[in-house]
Amino acid sequence: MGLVRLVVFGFIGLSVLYFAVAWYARSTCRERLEHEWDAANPEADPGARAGEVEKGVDAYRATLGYRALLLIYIVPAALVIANLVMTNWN
Amino acid sequence: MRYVIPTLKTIAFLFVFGLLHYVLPQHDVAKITSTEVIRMDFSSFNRWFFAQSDSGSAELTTRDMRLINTQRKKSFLLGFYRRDAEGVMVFRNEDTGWIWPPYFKFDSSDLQAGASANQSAPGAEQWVVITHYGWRNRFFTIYPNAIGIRPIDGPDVRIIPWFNIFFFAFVIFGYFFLRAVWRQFRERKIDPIMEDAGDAMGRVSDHAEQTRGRIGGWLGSWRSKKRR
Repeated sequence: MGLVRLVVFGFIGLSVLYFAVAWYARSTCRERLEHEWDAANPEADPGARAGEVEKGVDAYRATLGYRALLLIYIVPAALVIANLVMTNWN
Repeated sequence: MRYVIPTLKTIAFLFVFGLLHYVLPQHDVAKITSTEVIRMDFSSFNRWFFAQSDSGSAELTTRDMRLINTQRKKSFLLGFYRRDAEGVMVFRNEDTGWIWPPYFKFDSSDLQAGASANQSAPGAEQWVVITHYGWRNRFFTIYPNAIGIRPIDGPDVRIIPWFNIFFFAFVIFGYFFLRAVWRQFRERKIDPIMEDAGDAMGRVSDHAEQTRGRIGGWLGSWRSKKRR
């Protein structure tokens, strides 16, 4: 029963953390792309910027660095298992 | 008001400090003098300071509890400085199970056997490092919970609290990271909304101003004129 509770609440908590961090990563990427676009096209119509920036963010979503954020789920689980083994192993 | 905020902050600080002092692992250099099992009848208050029965067993209000009696080196400043003086300390030895505190300890029986194996006898002293969390309090009858026992050659041993170092480093890192996330969220999501809302509020109050002017004028037209 304790294990079920740990898994359920751990999953909920880590999901909140994951979505927060993933949003942060995308948001900083978007900001960087916007600044780059503004620097490259100082005279252009700002309406054209959004599409280009979204394309860049979508490309960022496919990178290894962004996918590595799934470690937010894996690392705590691995730490719990390591802790479990180290505490109880003779 | 001048005293309320500092008081609340002090209470919050003391609460967090106490919680961490209770939950984080500490190390004692000790000699195990005996192990025993006593029956505990918990009160509603001191029940808070005990874990649950062994993880495979049922939970009842009364149960047996393993204790480890020791003679340990006294220390001060949160255990960072050990003194030469010795004093008695009694540890409980309970499973913490899956949830809280997150030590994931299921091997109480094995730990009790390890404590017996490293027992000191007069003339044959065996020093051990006992990792534990929790407090000893005579009035509430609560004991720190032993997590691990490691035999050592002598009482002069340098203990580096690796877990606590990494824990506090992680807490500091997490604080600054979450602050950065919050600032980004405010800049990208909340501030634009507030600006829109501010514009809308401005329009509403302008409109109210004009309307009040018109209604005020209309009311004024009913007032009797000042007589000369």
